[in-house]
Amino acid sequence: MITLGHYLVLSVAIFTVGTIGFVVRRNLLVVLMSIELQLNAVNLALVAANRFHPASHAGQVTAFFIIAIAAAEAAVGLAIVVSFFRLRHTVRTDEADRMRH
Amino acid sequence: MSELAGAPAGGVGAVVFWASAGLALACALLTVLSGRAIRSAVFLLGTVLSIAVLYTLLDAHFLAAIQVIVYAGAVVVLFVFVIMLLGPGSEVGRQRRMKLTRALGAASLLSVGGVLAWALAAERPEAALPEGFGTVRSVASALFRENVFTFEAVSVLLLVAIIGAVAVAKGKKSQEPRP
Amino acid sequence: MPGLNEISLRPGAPDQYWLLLPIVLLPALGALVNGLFGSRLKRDTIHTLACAMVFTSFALSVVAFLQLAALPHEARHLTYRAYEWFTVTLPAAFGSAQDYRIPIDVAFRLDPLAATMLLVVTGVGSLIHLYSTGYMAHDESPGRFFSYMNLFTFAMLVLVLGESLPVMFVGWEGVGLCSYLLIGFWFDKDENAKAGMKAFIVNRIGDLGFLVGIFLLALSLGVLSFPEMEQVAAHAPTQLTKPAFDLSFSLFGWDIAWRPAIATIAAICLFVGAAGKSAQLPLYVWLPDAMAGPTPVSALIHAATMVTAGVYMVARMHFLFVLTASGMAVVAVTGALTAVFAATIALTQNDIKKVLAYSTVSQLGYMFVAVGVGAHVTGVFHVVTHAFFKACLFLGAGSVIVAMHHRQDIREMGGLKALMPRTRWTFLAATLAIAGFPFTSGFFSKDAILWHALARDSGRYGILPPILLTLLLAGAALTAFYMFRLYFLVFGGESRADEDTLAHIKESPSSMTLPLVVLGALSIAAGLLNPEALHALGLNVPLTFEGWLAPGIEEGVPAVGIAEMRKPFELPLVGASSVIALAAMGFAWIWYRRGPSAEAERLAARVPGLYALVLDKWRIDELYEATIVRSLRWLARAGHEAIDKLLIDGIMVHGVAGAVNLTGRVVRLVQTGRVQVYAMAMALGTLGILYKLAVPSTDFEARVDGRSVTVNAAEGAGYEYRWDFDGDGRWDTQFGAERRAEHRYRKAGRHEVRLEVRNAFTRSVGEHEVVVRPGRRRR
Repeated sequence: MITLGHYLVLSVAIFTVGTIGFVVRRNLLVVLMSIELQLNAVNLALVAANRFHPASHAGQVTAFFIIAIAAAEAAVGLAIVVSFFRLRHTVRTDEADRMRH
Repeated sequence: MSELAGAPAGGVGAVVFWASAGLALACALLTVLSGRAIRSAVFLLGTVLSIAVLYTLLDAHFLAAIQVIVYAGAVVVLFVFVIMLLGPGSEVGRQRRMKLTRALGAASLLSVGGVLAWALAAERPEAALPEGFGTVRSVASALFRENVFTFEAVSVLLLVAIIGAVAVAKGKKSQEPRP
Repeated sequence: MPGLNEISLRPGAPDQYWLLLPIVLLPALGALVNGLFGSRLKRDTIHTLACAMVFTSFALSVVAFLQLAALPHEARHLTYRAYEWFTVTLPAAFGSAQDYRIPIDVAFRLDPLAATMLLVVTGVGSLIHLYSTGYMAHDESPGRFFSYMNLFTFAMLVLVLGESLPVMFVGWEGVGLCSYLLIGFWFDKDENAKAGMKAFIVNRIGDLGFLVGIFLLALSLGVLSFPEMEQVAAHAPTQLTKPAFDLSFSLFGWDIAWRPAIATIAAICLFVGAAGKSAQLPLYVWLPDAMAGPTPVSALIHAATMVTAGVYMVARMHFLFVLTASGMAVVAVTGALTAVFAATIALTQNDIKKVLAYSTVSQLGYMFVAVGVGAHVTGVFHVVTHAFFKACLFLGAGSVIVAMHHRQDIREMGGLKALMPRTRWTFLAATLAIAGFPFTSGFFSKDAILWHALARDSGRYGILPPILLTLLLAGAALTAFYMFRLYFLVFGGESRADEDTLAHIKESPSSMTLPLVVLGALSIAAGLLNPEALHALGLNVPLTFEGWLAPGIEEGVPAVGIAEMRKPFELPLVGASSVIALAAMGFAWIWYRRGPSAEAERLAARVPGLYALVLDKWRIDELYEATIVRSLRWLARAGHEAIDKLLIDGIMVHGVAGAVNLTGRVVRLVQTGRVQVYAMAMALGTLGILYKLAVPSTDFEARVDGRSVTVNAAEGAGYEYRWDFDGDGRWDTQFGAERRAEHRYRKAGRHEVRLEVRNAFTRSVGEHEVVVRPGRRRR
């Protein structure tokens, strides 16, 4: 029998994988994809929680907004990647260390 | 739980859940682990679609559709476009030997996930599923009645994001003449 | 402080004598106006203002003097009490039964002694202010000069009129400050500024002694105003004569007893202050250098008034000094040695002002001999006559210096008597006075000092009087000689100046010669105020000065009397001192009447080492430089290295900066600029918080009280608790947020208490503990 716990553990697992990807990968594109993974994991948790507390649609509505914002984030993020590539001719995150100065 | 309508009960529902969950997790792992960006994008697509399946299991049909349209249809395609645009520049070469710090980071993040999963896996009481849960009508009602202001705000946000993305990606021609 | 309270110390609400206030404050007003607005005022305005203030002060002083003189002997004191300044509280630890309070008033007191000094300060001060308008006529900053001069007059009046030692000390420091400012008046020349600093620093040494003396008196007397101290000294002298400490010790079988009286220690401390201010032997070195200031300053401060403050102070504190024979001996011997020592240096000096400066040091020595043997009236009388003739000499020297275009070397002068007649005659009058020419003022005052040095009660001093007398006679001879050497070299013979200078030599303006004439006349005639020597000749002239001062000073306390057995020596002494003075003058006339003396040069060439030594002022400055100054400089440098450079610069400034820098370097390693590393750090922080939130922790304590047990569990966010008190597996309470619980046992014995904690994530964890409920029978 599948309970809310199953969904939440799955959500945590995907979220963790996304976080590890965000931290360890050196490719800006993959880092952005990791963020998408994290957002998806959160969405999954929200929708699952909504399913097991169905008095309102708050979880689903929030997930809907998160999808919209994720789309915006992807658009802007990828624009930044393109811009960064033009500047440095690479998408290595190591090169994006100007924040130090 | 089995008495709830459309609940992810045992039998077929459980099989679908386990299959989708496994696929989502595997694709997520492969997204992070695969060496080339284009493969990562394809595996991301797999994760997104698996999660869409899970949405249907969770009676969130409308959201499942949105997930497929926005993620699979827009976001992942956008990734693929950018990868194609950058061509070989989208690759950073094979990851050099994993440094100790990075391994430590991954391990500690895994432990975060572990603790979180352990905490969340506890049993909790459940409630009955009301009529019309997750249908387009009811979600639309929630969106356009109760959250209409947020909805409009998000539409403005998207507009701003589009303009911003265009502005950022276009760059300054005078500074960076195209080769 | 037993015994003190019986004496009525504080006179109840005295009549205020208001006149003292304008006398003191008018010069301060002048200093304020000239000091603040001097750069904008016209030269004439500045002159008028400064002179008007001092002249008015002088006129009011004369009025006050006459009013004081109109009073009967025993009531001759007028006081103006302005306000209570502060209160010194002596803790009970210092010998009295309870805390003892010494109120210090800002109060001015006019008595015969103060009135005498008041007239000298304002009178001579007025003349010198007038003179300065001529002397400083072309100076660039007259406002500053006259502001300082007025300020000096103010400070000197505070010193003279101050009713208590602290108020006097204010004036004492004030005149020291003005002295410093005026010596370094032309501070654009480095040596002038250094001379000012030297004067200031040497005076600090003396002031330390003065301060210690004040503290000692405050401790032992419990009062600090002069009339009160005098009353204590008169009625309870044991307060002062008891030993300050016992330093008796035994050495090789000899018992050496040294138990100095409080009076001795205090008197010597005060005398150290006086020696600093009045340029006595160890501390005289600043006065010759002080001649770097403008000449009117030398006349006013470094000849007539400020340097006599030490003598004045000793005379003021006469009641203290007469209680200690050894203290007085120190004063007298120091004075006599200084008198001769400075006179020898004056013999060889070639700078006109330096000769006068050493002569001042020497004359101050005479004054200290007088007050040191107990002849306070005589000492103060010499202060007065010296103020007249030395001011006249300095002002005459200033007149010569102006005429010589600020050249001061007497070897370049000569032949000025025809060119500057008024300066010459007044200078001659003052020279005669200081040399002790019969019946001039200096003759009477100096002769009286010689006589008292010999005649004052010899039982107190043993063989001291003849020694003092010999030294003073030698000093007198030297004085007459070097003064006439100076006079002949400046005014006599042919001019040795170059033609250009010679062509411009002319008599000074009347603003400068008028004071000279007044002071010259006083130098000759002032001796008639107290012609003690005439008594020896059998003439019964009234001793005005003694009649004026003596009741206040030499009555009421056990004064040092004149030994009867020495009476017959008075007339021969007058004769001897006159002969010695005249002989020395004649000697100078023989050698120097035509200018520099070949005989003197031959004599100098015969003992070149000695001559060079004296010319170099016995190399005392070099001695101080080698011993005190160098060691202090070493100390300062060591302090500079150890404290300034190492402690402050090294550790406190650069050390702190270095620590911040190092911290920055270490912390900067964390700032990689890579978002992923920051995200990692954030995730790790989240882990900590999450762990605390997600994993519940339990801890409780159980307290058994009779039959019941009280349990108390540790707090946690969103925790709920349930208890099982008897360990039977059934929960005795439901989950609840209450942390405390209580349970009554029915049976005695061991019980297991179990706790389960559930957090917001519904995760729970348990803990158990065994408690023992004691039975009815206790051990």
